[in-house]
Amino acid sequence: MTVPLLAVDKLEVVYQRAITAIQGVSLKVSEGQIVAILGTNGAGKTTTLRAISGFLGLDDARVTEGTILFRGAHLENRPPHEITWRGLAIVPERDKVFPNLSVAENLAVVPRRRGTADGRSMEEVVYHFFPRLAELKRREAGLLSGGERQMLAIASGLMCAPDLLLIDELSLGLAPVAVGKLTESLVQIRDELGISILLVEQSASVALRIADYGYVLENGRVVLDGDAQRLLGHADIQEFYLGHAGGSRRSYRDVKQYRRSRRWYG
Amino acid sequence: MKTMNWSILVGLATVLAAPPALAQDALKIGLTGALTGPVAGTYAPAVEGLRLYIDRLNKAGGVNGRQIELLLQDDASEPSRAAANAKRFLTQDGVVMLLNASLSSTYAPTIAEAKRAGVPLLFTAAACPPEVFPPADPNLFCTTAFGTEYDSRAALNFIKETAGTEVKIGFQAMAIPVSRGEIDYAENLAKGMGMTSVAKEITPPPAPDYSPFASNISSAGAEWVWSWAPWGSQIKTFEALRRLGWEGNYLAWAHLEAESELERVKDPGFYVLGANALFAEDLPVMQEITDAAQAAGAEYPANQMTEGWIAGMVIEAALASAEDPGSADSVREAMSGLSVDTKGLRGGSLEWTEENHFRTQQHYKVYRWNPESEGIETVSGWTTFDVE
Amino acid sequence: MQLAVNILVLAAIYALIACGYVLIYRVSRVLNLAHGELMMLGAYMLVATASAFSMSPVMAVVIAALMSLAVGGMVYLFLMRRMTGEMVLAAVLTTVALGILIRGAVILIWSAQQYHPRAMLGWGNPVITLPGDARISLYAALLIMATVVVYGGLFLFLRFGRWGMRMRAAGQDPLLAAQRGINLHAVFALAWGLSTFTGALAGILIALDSGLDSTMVMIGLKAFPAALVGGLDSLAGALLGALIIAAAEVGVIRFIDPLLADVVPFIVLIAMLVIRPWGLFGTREELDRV
Repeated sequence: MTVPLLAVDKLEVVYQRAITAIQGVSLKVSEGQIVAILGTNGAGKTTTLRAISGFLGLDDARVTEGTILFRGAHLENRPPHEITWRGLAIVPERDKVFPNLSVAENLAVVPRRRGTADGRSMEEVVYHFFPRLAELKRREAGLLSGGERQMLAIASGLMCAPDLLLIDELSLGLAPVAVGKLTESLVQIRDELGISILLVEQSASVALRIADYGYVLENGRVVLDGDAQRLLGHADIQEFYLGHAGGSRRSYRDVKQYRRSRRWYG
Repeated sequence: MKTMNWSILVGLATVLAAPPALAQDALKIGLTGALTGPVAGTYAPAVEGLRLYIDRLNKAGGVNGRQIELLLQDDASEPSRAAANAKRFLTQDGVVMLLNASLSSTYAPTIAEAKRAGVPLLFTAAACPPEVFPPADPNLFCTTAFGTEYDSRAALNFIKETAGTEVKIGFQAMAIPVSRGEIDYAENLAKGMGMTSVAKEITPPPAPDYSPFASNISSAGAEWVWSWAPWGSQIKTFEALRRLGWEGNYLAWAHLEAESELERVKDPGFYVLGANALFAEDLPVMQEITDAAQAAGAEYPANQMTEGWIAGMVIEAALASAEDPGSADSVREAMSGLSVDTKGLRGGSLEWTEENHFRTQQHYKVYRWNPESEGIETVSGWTTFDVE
Repeated sequence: MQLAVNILVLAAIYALIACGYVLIYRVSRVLNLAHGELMMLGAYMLVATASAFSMSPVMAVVIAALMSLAVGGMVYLFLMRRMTGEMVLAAVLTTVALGILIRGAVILIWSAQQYHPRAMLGWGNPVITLPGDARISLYAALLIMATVVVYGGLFLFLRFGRWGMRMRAAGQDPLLAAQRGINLHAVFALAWGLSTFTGALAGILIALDSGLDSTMVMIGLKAFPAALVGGLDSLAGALLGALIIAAAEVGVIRFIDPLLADVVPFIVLIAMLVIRPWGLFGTREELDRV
């Protein structure tokens, strides 16, 4: 088996030196894969993503256990800009663009790493995937619509010329049409540039539509993982994430059953 | 460029180490001074002069065979630190004389501490407090050249002799109480003498640009200006006036820096009035100071040390004539009837009586730059005022 | 006429100093209370280089200015960097400590003496007569020019320069900037370097015009209201704030009482804080974060 692009092993993150946010989270992303992390609010999805993309001092958070290996190199507790230079870019959930900078400036602030293999500049590539942004070049990012803003955020991530793009809550607050377009673009980006993508989503239907593999997080632990197709078919996912009530209704207590399912699929 | 202020470092180190075994029967005197802080430039050179004088005295055998230990403490011109320094000198070190070389705001706490301990207090570098003038406070003494009110009388007399009383006069002070008080006094005096006061500019401690103040003086048509303030504000106001094309005459108080500044500015319309002789006169005592400064690798130029040197002379005389120089009471008694030959640094000897701890006579000289001889010239020789 | 010139000169002094406060505040939300000291240090650098490069005075000035650029960068890298991510108050207190340190060091190295760098360099200070019989000294005129060039340069740099954009980005959202691969330490160090450089430029020109001693610190402090009145995160605001305060100050000296000169900037400041606490051009939202 080849070395995966990103391998997270038994990760533990502690906030403010006291609060454990996630515990023993392990996941893998291989070259060219789209992987989704699912879970409800507070399940530890964003923390996992942030741990991978790096904390700032003001986050007051640390990776206390476990490893994050990207192309075999350790990334635990490295500063965010260094992680970005290594080829790992994040599109955060909130505050994803610089509101007082224009669209073009938002793209221009990213330090140049390299162009694509075929010699195009990253700007050209970005405008190729998101032609709408080319029309909005001079507009202040703070004035963009939600969908446009998400486009710009993904585009800015691409400007970092990453090998792996981390996207936090792609669909949050966006119209289904816009989400559809964005997911199409992501697939296109993966196919054309060979960039792997790690998606964090509350909406399992959106994520599993394009993902190859998925992980389900609950209370800071991975409780379920598997191929997207397999997850889509899983009864719990059907019920709790896709909202298809199958057969008899279950009580919330039974959610604990995931801990047992973890063993079956692990 | 000077590399390091070793004198201050060494001075502080001496104080910190506080070696009691240095000399068993050394006479201790303690000085609190503005050695650092924004106004240190006015005090630190004088303190260095005093230190050089005492060092020289000790090398020559001290006073009646006893060494003098000069303890220095920096107060950065803060009253609270001055008080702490004084307390330390008086209670821990057991000094027989306390010296103050700092801003006037430090006077009150040091005066109080000295009085409580019954140790005489000598002001050596800044304006003399009113308590030393007759009738003098028995515990307070002053050697400094400044003599409030007498300075302005001398200045206006000089202007009257040079330009008569049909003169439009402007005043400059800094926004600190001593300076403003003196200039207010001067303005009234000028009016009484029949002069026309056209402008009185009080500048803030540091003004980024003195032109606005100078503009007022210049546009008021002042022919003469009398300035009694810290050196920086005197000279900067003058230079701003010249930049505005003002062609009048400017009389400023001769602070420590006066001599080097006259040489730098080289303006025959710029006069300084003071009680200390300038080194341009090249008296033997000045050569002594220069030699001492050179030998010690002094930080400040010798011509800024006159005040400290005079203080040294007075301290030596006081200790020498005290019956028991180890007793503060005895030292104070000696100080209350003292006459010290200033060897030409002042216009006469410095005399203290029971009633007068400022000096019985105050002498003034006026200097300026003479472009023809390319040197500093005396415009007006010693004029003497009796202090009553 | 002279009145206008006096206002312009004072405004230029305040503006050139104030932009240093703005630069650092804008990228890192830290109020640099050691700015006056750093500006004074820059002027003393000139005293050092003036004796070292007495052969080529221009070189001495250029090297002194460049040294202060380096000093600013180093202040960040060796001191303020440790404060990144700490509470803003802790960082501000650190700058206070730094200021005390610099003041002490300056006295130790250069003593409390007055210096006249212009005389050391062997330059004169000719007076230029303007129309209306207003007069201005050469270095005061240079100060106005330097202010124009610095503000013009900073404006272009922040607007179009890639590092300027990064400074704006880091100021808006440091986390996102870091996530986009921008090295925050480099951006902050650059801001500190530029801030110290512009401050030192003001210090050097004031020292060349009228001499130098350790009271220069207080001039740095007087420029602070200009930055605040304009809104701490706006360069245009600092420029206008400096102009307003200079006009008020010179006007009061001329028409009311010179004694008030020292308090006028603070009166204007208080009036501003009552009417519009975030400053003329400041961002309202910024205030909540302080």
